[in-house]
Amino acid sequence: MRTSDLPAVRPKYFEDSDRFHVRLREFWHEYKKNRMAVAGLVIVIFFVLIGIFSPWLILHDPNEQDIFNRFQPPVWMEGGSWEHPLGTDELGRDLWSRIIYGSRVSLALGITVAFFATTLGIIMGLVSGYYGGTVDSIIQRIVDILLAFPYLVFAIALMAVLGRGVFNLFLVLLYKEWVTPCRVVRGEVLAARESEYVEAARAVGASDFHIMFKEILPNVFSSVIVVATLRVAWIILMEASLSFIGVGVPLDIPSWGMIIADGRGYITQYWWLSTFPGLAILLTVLGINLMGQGLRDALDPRLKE
Amino acid sequence: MSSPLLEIKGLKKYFLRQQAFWQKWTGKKEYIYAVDGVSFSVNKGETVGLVGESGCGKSTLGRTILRLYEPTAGEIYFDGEKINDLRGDELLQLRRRMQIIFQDPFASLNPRQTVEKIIGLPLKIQGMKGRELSERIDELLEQVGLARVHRKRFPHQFSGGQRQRVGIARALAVNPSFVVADEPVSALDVSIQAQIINLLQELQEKMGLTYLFIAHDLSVVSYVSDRIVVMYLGQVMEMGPAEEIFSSPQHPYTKALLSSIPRIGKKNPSTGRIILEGSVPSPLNPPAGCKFNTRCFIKNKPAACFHEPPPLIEGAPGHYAACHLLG
Repeated sequence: MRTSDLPAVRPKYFEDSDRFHVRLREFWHEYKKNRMAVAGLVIVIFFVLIGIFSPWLILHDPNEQDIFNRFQPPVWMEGGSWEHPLGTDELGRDLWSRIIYGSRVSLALGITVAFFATTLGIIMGLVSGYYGGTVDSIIQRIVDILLAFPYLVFAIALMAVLGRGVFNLFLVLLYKEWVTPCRVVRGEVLAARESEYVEAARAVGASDFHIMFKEILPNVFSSVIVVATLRVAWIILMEASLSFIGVGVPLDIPSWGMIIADGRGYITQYWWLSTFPGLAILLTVLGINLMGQGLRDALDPRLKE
Repeated sequence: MSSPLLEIKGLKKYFLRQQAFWQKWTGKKEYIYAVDGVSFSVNKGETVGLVGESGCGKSTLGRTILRLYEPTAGEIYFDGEKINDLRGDELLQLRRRMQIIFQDPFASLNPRQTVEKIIGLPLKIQGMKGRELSERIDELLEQVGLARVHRKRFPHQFSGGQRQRVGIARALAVNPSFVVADEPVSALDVSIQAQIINLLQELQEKMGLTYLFIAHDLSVVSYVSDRIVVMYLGQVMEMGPAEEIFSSPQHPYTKALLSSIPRIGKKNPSTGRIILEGSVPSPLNPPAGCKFNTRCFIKNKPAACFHEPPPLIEGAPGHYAACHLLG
């Protein structure tokens, strides 16, 4: 029997099985099997919501100083009040409001840097893996150099030259962050390049551009998504580290790293100053990592250890 | 038979072996002699079977003819025109006239693309669009025994045989006159193999196609081929009309190959079977002289076997073999 003899009418679900929302549902079914990944997602959504709605969540201007009310303890300790739920710092600034606002810089930088770095990394990785030869050698030696450098030291030096600033921070983080997606994409492209579907595309005369972006990229995209997600956590840590050292965001933008640095001098008497922003970083990074691992397991079972 | 549609002369394809970068300075280069001086021709409308063990260069040859690999040396003539150096638009024109069907329909279809996109790609590249494109896709699907409802599906929703039909539709989309079928059925179930072979033959009649049919399964080749080319380590050992190759093989390698075909109803299956010793030598370092000399089962070989590559000699009309013992 030839296939065309089969009835032309098929059950509806069969026709629809590759629509986007169906694939999304399948993905979610796979993702939610992993409890920790769901917890990670909840944490990430929680912080993203805090970032978006921070103007409505704060109790004071995060930079407003109140020198008469410095070092107020959190509300549940003796002398604490609902006026400052997490207490105040050495200038009397409200710690709650500063941490809420700090989520904006961390998440915004984390996501934008990861986005641009991944885009750049995808392009470099595709070109490197697809063309191979000299182009590949050049790109991969650049990657090697970037990986061989102690990055934090280099970032400190660069920021010291460029000066504090969100955009400078963006550039300095971007400068290194494209490397990981580049390596991942290149590795996958090397495998995909030899596949028969690529050869088939060449046999019908498809352009290199078509092959790279239309044939290969969709097949490596799931691992790229996973890597990009995990990079967000790393970027947030880098931003916090640089701000902690004092070469990160400007002083008038509260960032978690900077809040920790501000409280560092008083940590023996007023432990909450550094602890709460530290917890915020810990939770965010943990949430993103759990989410990334969940994505990896759900999108690409091959990547499981 | 009429004039040759495809003619290759002394075609060679060597691959440079992957080197560590420091070896570039030492200047030592290692080549893989995948195809090492092959000449034959394919006439319009016929099917030439290309057989040989895995790794003998069959697929490389097929891909080099299609200009998917750059030939190292030799000439390829298609329809009287030399196609070695075609570039850009001319190459695109060539892609319209010769196509390939791949072995593994699981690997040759992009898992992230719908059938519609896969079959439509060659047409789009050749400038077709809109309604014309859509109608042509329907027509092609029907030709290979699929239906319109399959257009929006992805390869993983098909069986192996159906996927191979999609692969065939893609190859035939641009109305080529010559198709390299690179082991088109060896990845399929036996029951499906027959269907696909029948489809290929049906299409050949309908569209006047010429096939270069690459396979290692001799029974399949004997069924479809008009002529057969036997390859070993990148060289032609024997070629001739299919019936003659099967009824009176000349080259020891062909004899060994044919004796390996399992036959039903034989009392003692192992009688008359020639078992070759060892395995195919590495194409990095092929033996001197006759390439088959390391595994040839003939005793008391002449010295020439080890020094001199044997020429292809026409023993019977159209039947060539490369062996010193036949001289």
